[in-house]
Amino acid sequence: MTTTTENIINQVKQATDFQINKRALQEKIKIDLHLAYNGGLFLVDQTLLAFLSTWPTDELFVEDVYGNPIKCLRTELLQQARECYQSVMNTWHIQHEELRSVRKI
Amino acid sequence: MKNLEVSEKSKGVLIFANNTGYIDYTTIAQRAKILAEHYLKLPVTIVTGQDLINHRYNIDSGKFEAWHNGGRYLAHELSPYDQTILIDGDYFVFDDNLLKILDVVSDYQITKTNNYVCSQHSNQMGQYSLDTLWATVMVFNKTPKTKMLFDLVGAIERNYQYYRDLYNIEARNFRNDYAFTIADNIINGYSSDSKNYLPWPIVSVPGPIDSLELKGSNFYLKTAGQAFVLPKQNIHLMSKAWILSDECQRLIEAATNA
Repeated sequence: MTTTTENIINQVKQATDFQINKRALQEKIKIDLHLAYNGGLFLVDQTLLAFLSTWPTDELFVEDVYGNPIKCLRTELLQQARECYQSVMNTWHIQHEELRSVRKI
Repeated sequence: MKNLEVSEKSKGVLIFANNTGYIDYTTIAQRAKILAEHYLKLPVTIVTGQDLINHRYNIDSGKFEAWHNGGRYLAHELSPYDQTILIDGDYFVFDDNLLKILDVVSDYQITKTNNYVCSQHSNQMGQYSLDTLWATVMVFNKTPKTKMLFDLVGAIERNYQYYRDLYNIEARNFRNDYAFTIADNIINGYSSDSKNYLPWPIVSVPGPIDSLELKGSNFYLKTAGQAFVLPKQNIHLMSKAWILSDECQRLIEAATNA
């Protein structure tokens, strides 16, 4: 094998697929967006945040990721959910930007 | 909302490790222990001394080698904790997400989905069998149901050939993954219950590793012919040779000193 061929092979081996890395990061972020509250586990997404923001009473039952109804204090859960969402999404943005610039490792 | 009438439960991590003539599993477990203590801030107990004679395919050497993977069913009895995170020695903890499961688990939760980084894999125990659960990570409380589960796993281990035939399992060697899959199926009335499964997948690197480094908040992973940038997260590394390498030691130091 010539040196040129070896170089090409090495470069191909070092190349990393942005779409695969992006998906791996997305999956990790989804894990981080889980929030444990009052014995239930919630995925903090826009739906949960919008629901909690608009519900008129302060005490309610919300379905968690296991399909169980969990008794919640609306403002308390909303506060925790907002903090979780803000923190995790900021991290996602930073790491996503880092990923975009990596093509070889 | 915190219920102040409930007494605090003891929590900790349990790792099983049994050396073979080929692989120093206790060193592997010691390395996993350092990370689990650092990221989960929980005590870690390593259990050793089980001597079931079994064999596994070593992805590093390409040969079948001795493997002492029995006795996992004793975890319920041997765990000194009310709430236990049971992990394989080759499962490296790099975040605290498993603590969330301690807050919500009623009896037990075991891994349902295992995402391989570099390849696809069959998730079934056999062509006409159940989807495999992964004993790599499990969280349990000491409850009567959990005790039944572990007792059942022990019975399956002692009578593996019978259960292998019954469940159409292709692999001949005993695997804890299969024993827990069968036990979970039986204990839930020959069915499944989603509350017994971790709500997210584990991530595994199934083959040999050329290099794995931590740079900032990302892992830079090179395998034969592929390269990945992965977020810093809990990861199941199947290459025992790499875990025992100096490079792994350096990664652990970098991660715990960061």
